[in-house]
This record gives sequence, C-alpha cells and structure tokens, in this order.
Amino acid sequence: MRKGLFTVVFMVSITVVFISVLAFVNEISRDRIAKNQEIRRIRSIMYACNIFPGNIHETDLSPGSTTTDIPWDVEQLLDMVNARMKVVHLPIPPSQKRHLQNSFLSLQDSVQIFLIRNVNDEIDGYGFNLRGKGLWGTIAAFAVVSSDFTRMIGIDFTEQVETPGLGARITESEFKYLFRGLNLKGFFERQGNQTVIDMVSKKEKTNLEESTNTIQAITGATQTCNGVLNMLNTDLWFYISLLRENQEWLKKSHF
Amino acid sequence: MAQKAIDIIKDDLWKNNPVTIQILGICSTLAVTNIFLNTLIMGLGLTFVTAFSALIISLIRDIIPPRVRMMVQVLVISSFVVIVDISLKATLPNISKALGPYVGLIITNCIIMGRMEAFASSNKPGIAFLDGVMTGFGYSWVLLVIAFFRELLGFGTILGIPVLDPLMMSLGASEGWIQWAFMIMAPGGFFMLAIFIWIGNSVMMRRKIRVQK
Repeated sequence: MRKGLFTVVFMVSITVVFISVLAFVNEISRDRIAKNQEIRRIRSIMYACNIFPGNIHETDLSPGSTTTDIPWDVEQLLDMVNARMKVVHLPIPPSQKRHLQNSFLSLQDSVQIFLIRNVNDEIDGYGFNLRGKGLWGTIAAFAVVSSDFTRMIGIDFTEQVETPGLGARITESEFKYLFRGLNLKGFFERQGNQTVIDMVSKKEKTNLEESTNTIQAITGATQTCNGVLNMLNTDLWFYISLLRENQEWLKKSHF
Repeated sequence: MAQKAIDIIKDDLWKNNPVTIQILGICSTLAVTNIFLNTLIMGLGLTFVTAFSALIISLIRDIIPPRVRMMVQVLVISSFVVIVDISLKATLPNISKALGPYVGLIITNCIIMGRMEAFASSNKPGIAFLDGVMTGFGYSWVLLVIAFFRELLGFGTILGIPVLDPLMMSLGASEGWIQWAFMIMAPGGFFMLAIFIWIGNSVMMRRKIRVQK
C-alpha cells in the first residue's frame, strides 16, 4: 500500500515539476515565436506580391531557394507591408457556398482579402489564402492575382508536409516562378467544374514570357502537383468570382 | 574514473557507435541527412536531450520506483525534446521549419531510451552525463558524414554554398552539376548508411585481425 502510494506521489510530483519547467519555457518564448511566425507570413505575402528587398531580383536567387532565403531586413519588411497592404473581409454569399463543398472555404462565412497597392497608390492586386490536400497532408498557400483578375502575380506555399526532395519542392523558387503571369481568363467563362489551370511536364517558356494557363509539374511529385492543381481550380474560381462582384466596393474601401 | 571516461568516449564514438554498430536511430538518419545544416542541428538537439536526460535520470535513479521507471524516462526525455523544439522555434525558426516533425520525433529515437536504461539508471551523474554527450556525438558524426555526401551529390552544395556547379562549369560542363535526385530521397540515405557501416566494419575487422596476428 505504502509503495503504491509513494509511486503515485512520485509520479505526480515529477510530472508537476517538469510541466512547470515547460510552461515557464513556453511562456518566455511565446512572444518571440509569435513574432517569428508573423514575419514568416509576411515574407510569404511579399514574395507572392513579387516584392523583393532593395535591388534583389528573383532571377538572382538559386532555383532551389525558398522564401526564407530572401534577405529581408525585418524593419524594412514590416514598413513595406504597412505601406502597401490593407486587409478587408468579404462575406461569402450563400448562393456561392454550395460550390465550395470540397474547399476549406465552405466552413467560413467570410474571407480575408489583402489589397495590394503599388507606389502610385493604385490597387495592384488582390491576395488571399488557399488551402488544399496534398499527398501527406494539407497544402496552404497565399496567392496574389492582378487587379483585373486576368493573371496571377505570384504564389507562395506557406504550409506543406510533402516528401522532402519531391513534393516539398513546391516551396522552391524554380516551381513558384512559373506561376507568375499565369493566365486566369479561363475562370471568367468557367462552366461547372471545368479545369482551368492545367499542368504539363515541361514548359519551354515561363508564363511571364508567354502567359498560358499551364504550370510545370515536378518529376516524381504527381500527387502533390495534383493537389496544388485542385486547390487552384477550386479556390481561384471562387475568389475571382467574389472579387469581380465586389470590385467597386473594394476600390472604395482601400486606403 | 578517468579510464572509464576514456572507454566511454571510445565506445560511443566508434567501437559501440549507436548508429553503425548498435543500428539505432536509423529513422532520423535517413530522414534529415539530405541537408548538412539540418543534420548538424538535429545532432546538437539529440546530444542535448541525451546528455541532460541522462543527468536527470542518474540523479534520481535511487528514488525512481522500478514499476514506473520507463514512464519517468519518457517524461524526462520528452520534456527536454519540447525545450529543444520551443528553443528552435524561437531562435532558429527557418531550421525549425525545415526539420519539421523530426525534432519532436527525437522522443522516439531508440538511442536515448536505450542509454537511459542501459547506462544512466545505473551510473553516477557525471559519467552518465558524459555518456549522454558522447552518445550524441557518436550519432552526430555518422550523420554528418552521410549528410555531407548526400548534400554534395544531391544538391551540389555544402552548407547551401554551391560547390559542384561552379566546379563542373569550370571543367567545361555547360549544364553544371546535374543533381543526383536519388541522393535527396530516402533510398540515398539507405545506401550511404549501408556503405558507411560496411567501411566501418571492414576497418574494425582488419584491426582485429592485425591485433590477433
């Protein structure tokens, strides 16, 4: 009886001690971790908006580089996002919800839209979050489309748990660069669940050189690429429809 | 005492290496060794966890009730792993992101539990701490060697710095270094580890034969 009681008391005591230590460590790190996550998020947004620090050009980066390799100064990054971005919320009309059954948007009543303005104070584009299913788990992205909704300005993949070296390569500059200039006009006349964005094994020209509705797949990452494709075809259609319907309101609400 | 410490160092680094001789911790060996920097951080993290877990377990070894010793060991190990995880998220967020779930999976690394059971729970704190450190180093140096070759051949870089690309271009190869995609994937890790174990065992066997002669 005594041994059993001692065992219980010992386990409870040692658990309390270690939990307290962990709680303390968590508490002192919480703000810093939150700040790191916010900075990471802002880096992604800047990349998708095709905004780079100083005289860095995307073509200077190595093909395998990711958003974290872009040498942003934190203060400069925060100033840039405050100067060029505003967040608004658009309600999702009930009539559109029935088209969102396979999307994470079906669980939401409104969506966050980022208004991106250029140096002349005009709306350059609209940014929003995308979410889809990859091979091993969720793929989340932030995409920016032009103000006339005809092309994509950029995209960054903010969350993924795909195979390193294969599906995880969607975070690399080489893959994401091909989304810039992606032709989105097909969403204007989309019928039903028609696929608008497609994937090919090899693109001779980038979409900046010749705007098409195709992106290049990653060899050995078919499932991941299909997940990205489905995410784009589902969510982009919704966002473009919503933004087109609310274009006037968006123009009035910016800055 | 000093001789025991020297024996521990020799054993953990080579004669009884946790990866190549005991064949422990293989999962992380294959998973993180495609990038040298990630491997370095993983190795340091595991060394920290093993060393301090061994220290704590050794300090309280006489009062741990036998029936719950595994639970206590897991509690101690997981606490230190969480500390490493939080610390990485706070100080090295990019590497924390790159390592992803593998940091948390240090808890499941059989090397740590193995050392707690086999050594820390029956030895004094000082020597247990040393054993923890050297076990971590023994694990780390094997992984770093594997990672060096995997990153070099798979990406053509060392610590992210392009090495083979400029070299190949200077030798006249217009396409530069063509990456060995195989080295980036898990099978590359399998093969590198197997080659390492083969070389290591061959060297040890030759030494044994020489000594016997």
